[in-house]
Order: sequence, then structure tokens, then C-alpha cells
Amino acid sequence: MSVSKTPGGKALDILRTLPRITLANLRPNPGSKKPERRRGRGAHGGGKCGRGHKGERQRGNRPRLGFEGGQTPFYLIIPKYGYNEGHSRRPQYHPLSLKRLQYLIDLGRVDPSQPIDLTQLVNGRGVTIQPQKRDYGVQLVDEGADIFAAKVNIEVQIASEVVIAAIERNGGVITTSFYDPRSLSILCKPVPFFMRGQPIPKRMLPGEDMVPYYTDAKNRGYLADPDQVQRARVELAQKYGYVLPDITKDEMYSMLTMRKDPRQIFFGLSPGWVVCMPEKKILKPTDEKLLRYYGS
Amino acid sequence: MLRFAGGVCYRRLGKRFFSSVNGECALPANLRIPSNLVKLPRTKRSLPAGCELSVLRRCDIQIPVHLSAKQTWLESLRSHEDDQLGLIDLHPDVFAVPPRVDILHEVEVWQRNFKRISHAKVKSRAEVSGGGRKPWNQKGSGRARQGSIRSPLWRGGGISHGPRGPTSYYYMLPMKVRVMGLKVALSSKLAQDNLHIVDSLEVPTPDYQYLLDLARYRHWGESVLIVDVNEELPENILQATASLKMVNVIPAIGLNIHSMLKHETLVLTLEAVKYLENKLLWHDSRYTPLYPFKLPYSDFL
Amino acid sequence: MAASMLCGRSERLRGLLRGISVLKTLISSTTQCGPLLQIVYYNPKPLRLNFKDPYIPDKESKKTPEWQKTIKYDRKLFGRYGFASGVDPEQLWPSSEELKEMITEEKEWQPSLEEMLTNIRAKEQERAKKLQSREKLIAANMAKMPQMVAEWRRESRDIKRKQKEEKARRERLLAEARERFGYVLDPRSPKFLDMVKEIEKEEKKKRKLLKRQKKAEESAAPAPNAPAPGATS
Repeated sequence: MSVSKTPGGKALDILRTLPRITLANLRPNPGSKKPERRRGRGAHGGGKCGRGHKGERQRGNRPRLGFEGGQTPFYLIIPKYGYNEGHSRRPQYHPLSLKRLQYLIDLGRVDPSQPIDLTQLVNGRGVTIQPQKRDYGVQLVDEGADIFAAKVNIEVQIASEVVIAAIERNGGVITTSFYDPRSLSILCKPVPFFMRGQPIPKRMLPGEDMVPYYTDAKNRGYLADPDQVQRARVELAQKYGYVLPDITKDEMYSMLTMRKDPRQIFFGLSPGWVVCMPEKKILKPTDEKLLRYYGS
Repeated sequence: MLRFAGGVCYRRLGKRFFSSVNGECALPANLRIPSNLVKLPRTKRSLPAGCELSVLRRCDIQIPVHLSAKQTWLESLRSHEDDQLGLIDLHPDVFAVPPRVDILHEVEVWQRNFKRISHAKVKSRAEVSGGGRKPWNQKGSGRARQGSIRSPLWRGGGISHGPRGPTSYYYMLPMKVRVMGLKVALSSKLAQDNLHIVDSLEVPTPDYQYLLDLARYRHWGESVLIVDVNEELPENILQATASLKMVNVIPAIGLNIHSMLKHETLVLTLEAVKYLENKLLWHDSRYTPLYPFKLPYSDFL
Repeated sequence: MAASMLCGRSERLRGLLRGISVLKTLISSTTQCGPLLQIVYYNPKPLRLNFKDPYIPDKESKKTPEWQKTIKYDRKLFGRYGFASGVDPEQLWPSSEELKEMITEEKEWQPSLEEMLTNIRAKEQERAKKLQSREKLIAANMAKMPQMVAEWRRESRDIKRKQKEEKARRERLLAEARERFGYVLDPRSPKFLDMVKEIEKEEKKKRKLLKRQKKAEESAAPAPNAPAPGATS
């Protein structure tokens, strides 16, 4: 096997001696284009053009799919049952496996030295969130829990027990928190929102059906009591049989304990502030009513 | 088809080709150029074997380990003899990619079509004037039954299934394919010795004859496309090329495959090379866009 | 074994991270961004805004479309050009009326966490109560169960016995009919039915007679001067 010395390979060597590539000698790859079929031309033209004899088949006005010639069709015989009732209104949570999270961190697409929330994940193209398609965030999935080795402070929407254990075993912190669709779209794509020149809204509380999940310390909910969360961490460590690393002595202690207020969308930005991108300024309201509204 | 087109080109472009001993071995016999058609054996563009010359320009962007930089001569437009100022490095991912002629074809077809609007339109039986009345009774006349004198079967009647109105042929090729097309065009130009790099567009006189002489002296062929980065070009070259149809100047942002392939020779300035390398290589390492391109903020790596 | 592997991995990871961060500082101290950094770090392109010649619509002119005269568009202009747009920053926040509306809406539609928690607790209690009452009912019913089962058994036994008796009687009647007519009768034929009626009548008479005799005996024993049953009828 001869190896070409030029970087482009042997083809470029051959090209040196071939006629100049011009507009006149371009062509697609042989076999890549199929000529258009022209029915009713040439030797077999004039007859039935390959469409058979008379009727619906020849004229192409076949009845709708499932029609059985007037007999009650099969799809109408079976009674309806609401398996998929309300499917267009069910919230969806995109799965993000621990394996993929580790991959993103290893490639440097997600920076573990900063708290990770949806903005980081979306910017690193880890997940694609479409709030207008009923996406309510991400769920951490336990695939790759045994190889996960990063210490992170991560905020997701749903996490299972195994995932929580895998993250806390490495000395990380995990929080599950709720974002209403508007806050979620702001969180996923902050720049178009900042370009709109509007104040950052308050994050809404979860609905009544979701409150029990987010107030439960076992799920590390963001509305749960911190003491209970601490107790749950110890319990989980005992259940899965690992030693819970002491966060307070960690060098990244301040990063690991960073948390958002339940009403806050971005780290470090309170509701009611306006971010002015072109001048890199933050404008804060001074009016008392506004402050009271955004502070509540 | 390539061979056929090549055959047409032989007489006109024979002097452009040369047959090196290495090349002939790699080539099938039917593609080899007959020796009587080869008038000018090209020897001047051969690069020095050992690197005793210092390289004047290095690539800004890191070259992958498994590839080596593509080297070529730096030239100048200042005088006829300044065609070997020194060696420069070109990025192999832009100037030495595999020559995919099919991609060139695809992009060229797209470039012709995406801005095409066909205004072809013919009148249907409804649009041709008249024909509202039934020409004769349905029965009794002994003639074929007819309902309108503008039926498609009639002379002077409407056209059935004709072209209708302004039709847009707009479609968009994926950006990566378009970028690939530019890379392939640049590499094939370089591989066929039709790409020349000059240090700047400074010309001693505004006389167009000087440019013509220069092109003939350096065997640049019939037509030359000169590309620079900025749109403010030196006065001399603007004046010289204003009246010339075979020598054209465009800014690098307007560089496209159609013009590149239409002109025989492509002349790039050093800044244009840098600009193109930056622009084209960025697509190799970019993320998918998060925000639409129309927003002033672009979220890319 | 697995733990040691994990440790090794994390060590390597840390080394990698350290390397990258060193690289980052190096490169940011110089000017250019190398390709490695391009792949590794999130490094968006800067904002490219047309500050020299921003488009700011004239509010008085009739040519500007209506949607460019709204407050929303003003806010957009501010977001795009900052103070150069000439928009009063006060307009960025909702006015007092809008704020009032927002507050009333929030009060109407978004209950506070405490309210929701009390609601949830109340619902929980209600559900528990329902469950408890149901369980009580079930327990009471289960206590009645053995008695009900016994009753059901007795009933079924009775039914069986009755069926048996019915069958025996029918057979007896059939046998009698055969004796009387000399051949096997269809049980649905009028002859047979008449015979059954007759027999029933006879039996009734017999029973009456029996009853009368019994009564007579009874009346005769304690009170001999009671009227005879035949005189009353």
C-alpha cells in the first residue's frame, strides 16, 4: 500500500494531471441521481401505462386508509379506551444519564467547578429543552452510576435515588427544583430574553400535585428543610453503604453550597433586575412597590 | 463526461497541463494527454525538495498531528520576476481536502437555483378570453361534443398543465456542505496549480496592459479572479481591472464556487488566506446553533 | 477493585482538569484562542451590535408601523442598544396599574406555599378519613361473615331437599297415573294434569277430614259439650 505524501491523499496527486475542474465538467457521483420516471412514453406508451384495468386502481381515487367497502371498519369496532388521555398535556422530562453527564464533564463542555444548572447543560449541548413542547426540564437517569466520578453541584428537575447516591458518594450536591415553562425558557436561552429588555420574572411555585415531591427531603427538593436534607443524606449513605464525604472541609465548599432561592431563576440574579447586554450593566428597581412584588 | 469535457479543453488549455513521470503512472491510459498536445512543460512551480528556504508564513490555527502543512510559493504583483518571494504554509484542512467533485456540483447547482425565480407562465382555459358559450348543440350536429372553444384540445385554447406563475426554486444546502464545497474548490485549485498567493495587491501602474502581461508571463491563463479581504482596494488595481473582463476583483466575503470555477486562476492575498482559513475551519469545531442566526448574539465556540 | 478503579479515574480526571485550567489561564493571558480551547471551553462570540447606526423608529411619523410604537418594542430597543436607544429605563418595569393587575392575578391564581401545604394536608386527612371509614365498614361486614355463610349453607341445603321432594312426588304421580290408565302418560298432557288436580283435591279433602277429626278429638277431650264441627259448616 503506497501512502501519499500530500495531505489530501492520492486523489489530489491524480488531480494534478487531470484537466482543470471547470463549471463544464462537474457532475454528481455516478448512480447517485435517479432519472425521473415518465409513464406512458416509449415502447409501452398509450395503453394503460402500467396502472391496470379500470376502477379505483387506475384512477387513483382509492378510499381512505382502513375503509372496508362500507362494512364497519376494524378501527371503529374496537371501543375507545383512554390509555393516552391527556397525553398532549403531560409534562415531559428529558432524560440525561450520568454517563452522558460524565462525558460532558470529561470533554470540558460542562464546567464542574461551577454550579451546574440547565443553562450550563443547554450551552454545552448536553440536552435540548423545548418548553413550548411541554418540556419541564431534565431528569437524571442512573445509567452509568457506577462510573460517575465527578464532584458537582447540580440542579435538575427529577432524580432517582440511585442517582442521588451516585452524586453524593463523590462529594457532590444535587437539588431538584421546579421551573414553570416561562422561567424554563428564560433559563435555557437567556440571551434572547435579555435582548427583550424586560425584568427577570419571579419563578413560580410548583402546582399542588408537584409540591409533595419538591418538599420531600428524600428527593432533595428545593423546598425541603435543609436539616432534613442533611439527615436524608446520611440515611442514604447508610443505605447504599458508602462514606458520606464531609463537604464543609472541601476546598470548593462555597461552590457546593450555592443554591437558588425558590423564586430565583439565575444564580446571582434576583427577580426584578434588568440585564443590559450591550453595556454589560444590571439595572435594579428602586420603587418600593416593585421591590415588594419581586421580593415576595 | 469528465473525460469528454477534458477532451474539449485539451486544445484550448493544452499548455496548462504537464505530464510528470510520477503522475503518468497513476493515470489510466485514456486520461493521459497526448505528447503532441503538451506544448509547455511546466517546471517552474515545482517546490524545493529539502526545506532550505525559510517559511514566510505559518498557519495560525493548529494543524492536526496526522497532517502536514501544504506549502506553496508567495508571489507579488509588483514586477514580473517576483513570483518566488518565499514559501508559505497553508492549512491542509482547507487547501488539501479530498477533491469531492460531487459536492462541487451540488453546491454549484444550489448556487444557480436557490435564487432563481422562473417567470414562465401560460394561460389556462379559464384565463384565455372567450369560450363561455357552447359552440354547438350537444346532439344532432354530427360533430364531436364540445363545451368551449378554449378547451385545451382546440387550437387557440388554453394550455393544460403548463408552467404556472412565478415559481421559486429556493432551497438551502446545509451550511457544512457549502463550507465543504469552498474547501474542495480551493484545494482543487491549488492541486491543479491554479491558485496563487500574493502578498498584497499593490501594482506599479494603473495600466491594465501590465496586468495582462503579468498574467501571460506567469501562465495564469485566460481569466483571473483576485480576492482580497477588505473592500477598499488599492487605487491602481481598481483602475486596471475596471475595463478588463477577464480579470476580476472580489472581496473574500463574496468568494463562491461558481466564480472560482468560472475563472481559470485564483489569486488570493495573504490576508484573504488567513480570513478564509479562520472562517472555514471554525465550522469544523463549532457547536450546533442555539439561537437563530438572525439574532445579533451568536452562541458558538 | 471497583473502588480502586473509580479512584484512579477520578485522579486522572482531576489531572486533566488541572491541565485544562492551566491552559486556559495561559491562553487567556495571550490573545488568541487555540483550537483546543475552542473545543474545550464555552466561549461565545461577542455581541455584534450596530451601535454606529441604530434603527430607532420615529414615534410621530405615520410611516412607522404601530407595533414599533409600543412599550414592548421600546424595551426591545433598550435590550439591543442600551442607553443609546434613548428609552427611559423606567419604562422597562411594569407601571403601577400593570403591577396591580399582576398582583391581583397572582393572588387569584398562584396560592402561596403555606396555603398549598395546608390544602394538601387537608386533602390527605380527608382521604385518610375516607379510607378509615371504608376499612371500618369492611371490618364490620367481615364480622358478620360466618353467620352469613352458615345461613347460605342452610338455605342451599333446604333448596336441595325441596327439589328432591318435588322430584319424588312427581315420580310417584307418574307411577300412579300409569297404574290408573295402564300406560305411560306425558306429564304435560291434559289428562295427566286433570288427574293431578283430582288427586290434589282428594288430598285436600283427606287433610280437611284429618283436621276435623283432630279438632273433634281435641274439643272432645277438654270440652265434651262443644258443638260438633259438622253443625257449624
